[in-house]
This record gives sequence, C-alpha cells and structure tokens, in this order.
Amino acid sequence: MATRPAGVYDVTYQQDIAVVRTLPQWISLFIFLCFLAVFPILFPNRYLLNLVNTILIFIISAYGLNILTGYAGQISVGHAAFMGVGAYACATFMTSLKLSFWISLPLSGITAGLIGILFGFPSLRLKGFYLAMTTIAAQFIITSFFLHFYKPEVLGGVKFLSGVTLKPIQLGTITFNTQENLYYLIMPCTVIMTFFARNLVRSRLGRAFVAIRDNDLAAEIMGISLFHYKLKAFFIGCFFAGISGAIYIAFMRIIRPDQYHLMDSIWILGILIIGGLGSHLGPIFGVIFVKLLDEVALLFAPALGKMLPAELSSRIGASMGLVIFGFIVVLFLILEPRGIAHRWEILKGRFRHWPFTYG
Amino acid sequence: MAKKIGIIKEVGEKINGGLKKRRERRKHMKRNFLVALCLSVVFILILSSSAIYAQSTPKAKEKEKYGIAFLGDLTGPLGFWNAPRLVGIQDAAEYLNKHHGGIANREIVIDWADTKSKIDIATSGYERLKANKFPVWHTCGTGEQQMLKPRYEEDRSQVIFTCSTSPGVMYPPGYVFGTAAYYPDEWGLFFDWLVETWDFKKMGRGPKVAILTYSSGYGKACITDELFAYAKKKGVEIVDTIFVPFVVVDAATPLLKAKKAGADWCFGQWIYQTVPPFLIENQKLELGLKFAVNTFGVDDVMVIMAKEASIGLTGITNWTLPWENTPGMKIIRETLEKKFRRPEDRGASYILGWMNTWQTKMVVEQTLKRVGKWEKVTPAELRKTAETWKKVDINGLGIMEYGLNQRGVTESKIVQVQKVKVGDKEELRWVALTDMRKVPRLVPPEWEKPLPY
Amino acid sequence: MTFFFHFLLSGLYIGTIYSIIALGMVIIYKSTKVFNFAQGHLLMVGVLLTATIGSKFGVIGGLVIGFLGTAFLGFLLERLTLRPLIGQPLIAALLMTIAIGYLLEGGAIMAWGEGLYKYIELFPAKAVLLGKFPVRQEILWAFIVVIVSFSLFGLFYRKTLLGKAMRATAEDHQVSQSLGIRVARIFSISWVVSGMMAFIASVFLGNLSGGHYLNYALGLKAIPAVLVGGLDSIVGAIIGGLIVGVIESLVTGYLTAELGEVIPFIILLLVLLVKPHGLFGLVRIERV
Repeated sequence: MATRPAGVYDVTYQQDIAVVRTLPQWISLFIFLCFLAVFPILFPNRYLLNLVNTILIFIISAYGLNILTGYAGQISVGHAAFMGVGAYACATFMTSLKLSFWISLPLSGITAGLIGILFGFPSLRLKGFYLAMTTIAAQFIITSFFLHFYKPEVLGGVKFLSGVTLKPIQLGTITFNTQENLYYLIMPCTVIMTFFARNLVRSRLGRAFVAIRDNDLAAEIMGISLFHYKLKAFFIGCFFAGISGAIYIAFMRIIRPDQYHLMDSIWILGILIIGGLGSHLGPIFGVIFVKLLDEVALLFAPALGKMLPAELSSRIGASMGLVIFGFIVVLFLILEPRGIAHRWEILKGRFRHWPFTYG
Repeated sequence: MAKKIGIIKEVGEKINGGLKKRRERRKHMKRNFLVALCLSVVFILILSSSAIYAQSTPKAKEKEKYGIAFLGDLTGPLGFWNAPRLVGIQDAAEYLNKHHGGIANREIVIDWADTKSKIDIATSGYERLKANKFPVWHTCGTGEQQMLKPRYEEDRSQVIFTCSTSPGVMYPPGYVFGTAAYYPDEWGLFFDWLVETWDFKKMGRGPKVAILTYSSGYGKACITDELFAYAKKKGVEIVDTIFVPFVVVDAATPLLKAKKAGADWCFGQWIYQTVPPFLIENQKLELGLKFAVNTFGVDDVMVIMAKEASIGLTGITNWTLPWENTPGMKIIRETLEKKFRRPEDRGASYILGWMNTWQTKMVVEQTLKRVGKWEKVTPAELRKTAETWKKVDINGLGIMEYGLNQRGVTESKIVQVQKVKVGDKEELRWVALTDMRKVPRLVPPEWEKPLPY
Repeated sequence: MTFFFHFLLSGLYIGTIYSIIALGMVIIYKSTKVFNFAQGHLLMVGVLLTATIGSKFGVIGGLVIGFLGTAFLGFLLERLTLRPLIGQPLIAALLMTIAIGYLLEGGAIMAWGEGLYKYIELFPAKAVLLGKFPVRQEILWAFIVVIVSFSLFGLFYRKTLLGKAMRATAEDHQVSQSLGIRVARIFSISWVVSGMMAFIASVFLGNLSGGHYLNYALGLKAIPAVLVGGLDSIVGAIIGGLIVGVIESLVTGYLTAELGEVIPFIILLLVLLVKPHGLFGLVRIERV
C-alpha cells in the first residue's frame, strides 16, 4: 500500500489518503462496476447467481465485523445474532408497521446498531477476551429471545410454522423474487456499504479505532474518549450486520429464529481471519474463498460418496466439508495469519517491481 | 577467563546457529505454504471437475439413468435421522437395479445434498439439485421444507416424497406428498384411543397430557390450534408444553416438570435419539409417566436403546412393523444381514428410505403406463398419478393413500412396545393394539384447496 | 418440596459436569493463556471412544482406552496446532481452537457416523434412598469424583515440583523459561491433564445422553460456568460450575426451559459487569 507505481507521488493530503489514485485505476474501477452490472446477463445460471447473492450479503456483514474487530480491536463473537436482530427488525417493520422495505432497511440497521451498543456497554470495563465472552453471551441471549420469546403473531405469521414467509418486495412493478432481480437489489447495497466502510476507515473515526486497537490506554491519554469510540465501533459494526440480515431475509423470503447460531458468528470471524483482519480487501477475499470452498466441498461430497460403499458415503462425503474448512483455517492460522489480503499485497508488489525481488 | 569467553562464544554460536536455522525454516515454511496451497487448490479443482464431468456426460452405451435426489440434513442436528435414510435409499436402489432392472428399465442413480438444517445451504442445495431435473425427490427436515414449499410450488419441477408431514409442507396440497399421516391427525387419533381406553371411573378425571417436544419446526408441528381444539373436544387436557433439545443432557428436569404439572402421558414429535434417556430416567425415578411417539418414533432402535424401560411406549403408524413377514420387510431384513448394518442403522428412517424408493418406482411406472412415453412423464403427471392412490400397499411396507387434497394417509393404527413370547423366548417388540382406523382430519380450512398443476 | 429437591439435585449433577469441563479449560488457560473452545469436542471424542470400544472390549477396556485416547488427543492438538502459534495474538489462538473443534466434529462424524451409541453401563440403575428421596447413584459418584479430582489436582498443583513449574508458567512465560522450565513441555502437560479432565466429564455425559457427535454442545454451555468463576481460578471453576448448574436447573424446573437455557448467559453478563474478571479471577494491572 505504501508502494506506488513509478512516477506517482502525492502532493496534497487528499492525494495521500485517496483510494483511487491514477487514471488507469479509475478506468479499471469503472470497468469492474460495469462488469458487476451486467453479471447476471453474462451468467444466467440460477445456481451461480444464488451463490453470488449469498456472497454479496455476507460481504456486507464481514465488513461490519472487520470494522469492529479488525480496526477497533473489539473482538465480537456475536455477529450472527446482530444479523438476526436486523432481520427481525426488518420483518417487524414491514409486517406490523406496514413500512416499505426501502425504509425499513436502514431502520433495521439502526436497530441492530442500537442493540449492539447495548451489548457493547461491557466493553468499558472489559477488554480482549472477556469482551469476546460478553459477545458470546449476547449471541445466545439474542438467539434465545427470538427462538422463544418473540411471538410470531407480531410478524403476521401462523403460530406453528417454524418461520414466517414474507412476500417478495416490490419496487413499483418489479417484484424481487428471481435470482436476477435479487442480484440487482443486493449488488448496489453491497457496493454502497463497501464504499461506506472503505471511507470510514480513512476518516478521523477510523484513525481513532486503530488507535484504540493498538493501545487503548495510550489512546485514552491522547484524548480519544474510549467510551464514545468503542460504542461507536459497536454501533457501526452492528449496523452493517443489521443491514446484511435485513437483505438476507429479503433474499430468502423467510425468517426463522434458529438460523443464527454461534457457529455462524465464528464462521464470519474465521472468514475475516482467512481474508485478512483489518485490511481493506480482507472481507471480500475471505467471503469469496470460504463460500467457494464450502460449495466445492458440498459439490464433491456426493461424488466422493458415489465412490464409497453406501453406509460410508453420507458420513464421509458430508463431513468432508467440515474437515476441509477446519483444516484450511488451521493452515491459514499457522502459515499465513495475516490472511489472503496480505498475500495479495505481496503479489501486487511482485508485479510492480518485477524483475527485482524487492523495491 | 579464556575458558569463560570460550564458553560464551560457544553458547553465542549455538544461539545464532539456532536463530539462523529458524529464519531459514520460516522462509521454507512460507514457500511450502504457497506450494501446499497451490497443490490443494489444484487437487480440489481436479476432484470437483471430475465430479461435474461424471455427472454431466451422457453415457450412451450404458443403460439409461433415472435419478432420485435426496435433500436432507446429514451433518447437522438431525443428521442421525437422515443418514440411515440415505443408506436405505441407496440399498433400495441397488436392490431394485439388480432384481427389477431399476425403474422401468432405467438404472437408478442418486444425487444428494446436505442441508445442515440451515436455510441458505438448503436453498443452494435445492438450486443445485434442481439443475439435474430429476422428477421425484425424497426430502426431510420440516423447517427447510416449510421454507422451500413456496419454491416447490412455484417451480413445479419435481414431486417430493417427504417425511415431514407438517403444517405448511403438506397442506395446501401441491407437489409434496407424505409417507405418514399429517402430524396433528396422528395425535388426534392418539387422543381418540386415549379417551377410549381411559378408566374415567378410577381416575375421576380426564386424561392429562404434557407435550415434550423439540423446539424446531418439526417439534412444533404438533402444536396447532386445531389439535388443541380437538383435545378439548375429546376431554383431554394438555397441561404443559416443554421443549427439549435434540441430544438430551438433563432428562430429569423436563420429566419432573411434567409430573409437577400433573401429566399422565407425555407425547411429542421426538425420535430415537432423544426418547431413550427419558424412558430410562422415568424408570429410575419411578415417576410412572407414559410416553407416546409419532410414526417416525415407532422404531426398533428405541427398544434396543432403552430395553426394559421402553415397555409401554406407544406410537401411531401406518407402516408394517419390522418383525412382520411381508415381502418388503423380508427383503429389508435380508439386506440388513447381508450388509452387516449396525443396529442403530436399522431404524425407522432406514425403512423409510426403502419405502420411498418403492413408492417412486410404483408412481413412475404407473405414470409411464398411463402416458405411454418417457418424455410425457412430467412432474405434473406424476402428481396426478399419486393423487389417484387409494390404499396402495407399498410392497408390504405400508399403506399409502392420497387424493386430490389428501397428502397424508387417512388411516393408522396404535402400536405399543410390549414383552411378548416369540417361540420360546420373551422379547420386546412393537405390537399393534388396534386395527387401522380413520384419523381425524385436522387440516385448517384455509389449506383445503389444492394448488395448481 | 420433593420437586425442589429433585431440581436441586439434577442442577448439582449438571453443575459438577460443568465444573470438570471448566477445570479443564482453566488448566489450559492458566498455562498457555489460550481459551480452549474445543473442550466440548474433546469430551465428545472421549464419549464416543469409550462407547464404541467399551461395547467390544468391556467396561474396563473402554474406560482405559478412552482415558488414554483423550489424553493423547490433547497432546496431539497442542503439539501440532498450538505450538506454531506461540507468540501470535489472542485471536489466532482462539480461532485455532475453534477450527480444531470443527475438525474434530467432522472427524467424529467420519469415524463414528451420525448415530447414537449406547454408553457402557457403569452405574447400577437403582437409586439410593437418602431420607425418603431417591437419589441416583451417579450423582453421588459425580460428587465424589469432583471432590477427589479437584483435591488431587490442587495437591499436585501446590506440592509437586511439576505443579510448581506450572504455576510459574502461569505467571510469566519469559521468566519461567529463563529459570530453566521447559515452557513448551508445560503446555503439553497442561493439555494432557485437560484431556484427562475432559474424559472424566465425558463418563458422566455419556451416562446421561449416550455417545453422539452433538455432545460437543455441552462445551459451549460450560463457557458461562468457566467465566463466572474466573478464568484463571481453580476454585472458581467449581463454584462457577455449581452455581450455573443449579440456577439453570431451578429456572428450567420452575419457569420455562427456554429461560433456563439462556439464564447462564445472563448470569455471565451480570457477573462480568460487576466483577470483570469473574468471581475468583485475578485482576491484572495493565501498563501502557
């Protein structure tokens, strides 16, 4: 990141903190956005679009956790529960208060952020590991609340269904119920949230977060109010989670209370570590890598199963996914703890100063 | 002095040498990591491409294939139920391929996807299996089925035989068919039997039941307004609803709660994993509670796990009992012996796998006979054929009955675990207490109308 | 009144199991400062090993092999996956134990399948009468085992040389290393002892619910027990486990089961807010 191509140097402060610097970078950004826009037309496969939509939704969530844990250093193992809060808030706003989806989306993000602040209060007295434990407590309490204490009648659902199906969202005459339509709903949201996250960390707020992560006592002495900034970090991280959860139920069209397990929170944390905690492209790399890995594992589980005798096929085939995921995370942690983003930077650097080995 | 310097020099060199070695090792580790990562990615790519290739090439010289898709939770919390079922489907497919030439002379192949009881994985599994265009699927998992039901009815690309005869899955009647009675109907029949055999004079009051069930969609499938209203009508008092986890750690507390509420019977939508600890605990604490399970709890594994404590366990089923000598059961028993299946794998879900495969064969062959050509065998035609089934005997494994707006069977019998004399030994097994009786229809009226084809 | 007694008793029983699991986590944390999320998974492996080997080679064989297997697994995990992480930040080690948990779960499904295994019959089925309340035998055994194991471990920790070495390592790794204690070996030993603890807990867990790969969920439920007592306090492990177990059981019995599931975490939050390091944990002074 500190290395620039030859001939490019910064004269003003704006240039120094700019994300897109040179004209070729602007052009490639534009081409990439155009590619994203026409993606469903190039690849109309439903299965692929389903996968891409899921990836985009989790990218939003991962960016939230990246800000909270990667930049502000507050370990949160309850992220999936805040996605659930966003989902339930969105569903409640849409069904009970009869607001449209477009209003309830930011509202549900704000709701999740506020609940995040509530569970972030312990961060004033606790740090590091104990804070992670309060977020685990938050995870279980919130999930249990939705599972047992939240009456589905509020959502207009029938009592005995395990979840409530929602009608697909409408915008004018377009109904978002096919994978292509949903892609055009999700993709702009993801782009906007990524843009938002990227700009957040190069602002004053982002610098305060990094200071808190590195040494919070020194940050307090320097004048960064830990109280305010930690709570802000929780708010923003959970805001992203809430938005992601709300879009997720628009995508799935069902809301179920038992979908937000501890393992999902841990999964997102693992995704971040694999992608690179505290880096700009880390969440994207992490989500894409892990989701693709998961799909590959699920894909070739039946194929592996065909080669084995019947009673072993489901066991071995289906558990391969777990083993592969665990194994890859272990490998990454041992050999490359800074994640794929770090390797990507090294790769870019190699291209930049080829044929020299450093420069 | 010189010796001391010498020693310090030696130590220094050792440390330095160690550090140098460690530095080199780090470098090698980084390089090895890249190599390992590239190799593993290549390996995974090769495997997956071979899998996709194997699925997609039409082998013109070999027999034509007929595919069955299986969508269920194999490694999640309900994995213990679905894994034997997949084994059952595979064994049945192998048997049919060998002895009957498959389904209408097409070799049966199976493709499956694991849902892990999570809706996003279930949805992507559904999308993936849909691409195969298999017209008949076997699925499981009430929560996921309830979520996928709108998609099933929108896509109309397959007929589904499912084990979850729950609200929201079977009714409104569409492309999803069940292998047992609708869960609330089953429990309605149980209440009928309970009231008939209850000694009102001795007890001085009506029967009191407590619901001990899972908190998942499957578990909550018996908690419907219609069932509660029916219970009130029959005079059965439901005193408490207690949720238990899938793998039970503390069996005493829910039982004590039920006893405290005054229950005589505990019933719920629970299967072989959960019930034996409760039966054993009940026996140890001498609480005297009696237990009831639904069709999928009528399982030999319960008896094996709980042994003496399972006497008195009551169930509702329309399947033949595993020890009966119908052709289908005999084939299953032979296969179990031949393949040395473990006792835990011989449960109700294994039999269900067989039953579904026989059902698939029958429905496809009947449709083929009706429409004439394979190209005309579409899911809509299969659905029409299935709807004409009136008391069809699935090769001696059970009796199925469907109709235009009937997706679960209309008759079941009450069975119970008892100690009977078989030959000259005494053994514990399920015994039928009643004949096949009509179950009450507890479907909510808004779901009576069948969905379009 | 009898119901209260029964609820209390089953709460104490669950509490003792939580205590033993908590002791395992505390041992590892004290020595290596790593929180072992995979303790429940070690339990699961112990139960499955004992159940399968016990059905073939008898009770004693099952117990011995289960004991050795779990201890060896603890050793393996430390050596292969946590040794390279010495010096890395906290998150890496946390996530490593979680990934190990995933691996163990997948491995358990591969090796033992998804079915329920019948556990070996260790305790006679008849209950002992205490006054006029029937008390199941395994509850008494659980108490005895907990008291014995805690006191043995406490003795070992305080009196023997190895125990003193472990206490020194728990204080400061650098200083212990420079005094000649092989810190890496202490790490291995603490993982092995933790594996043994997991095996002891697994005996009671297997008795309760049989061998199944979902047994690892108990490790997650023991997390409040560990933290309420304080992560680096052995006494806290017992007290925390018992408190959490009893309150959970009483709430499940008198209120609803759903509230009972969540009450340990609410207790955790409250305790952490009042005493951030747990009831008996050590407060560390931080310097900039």
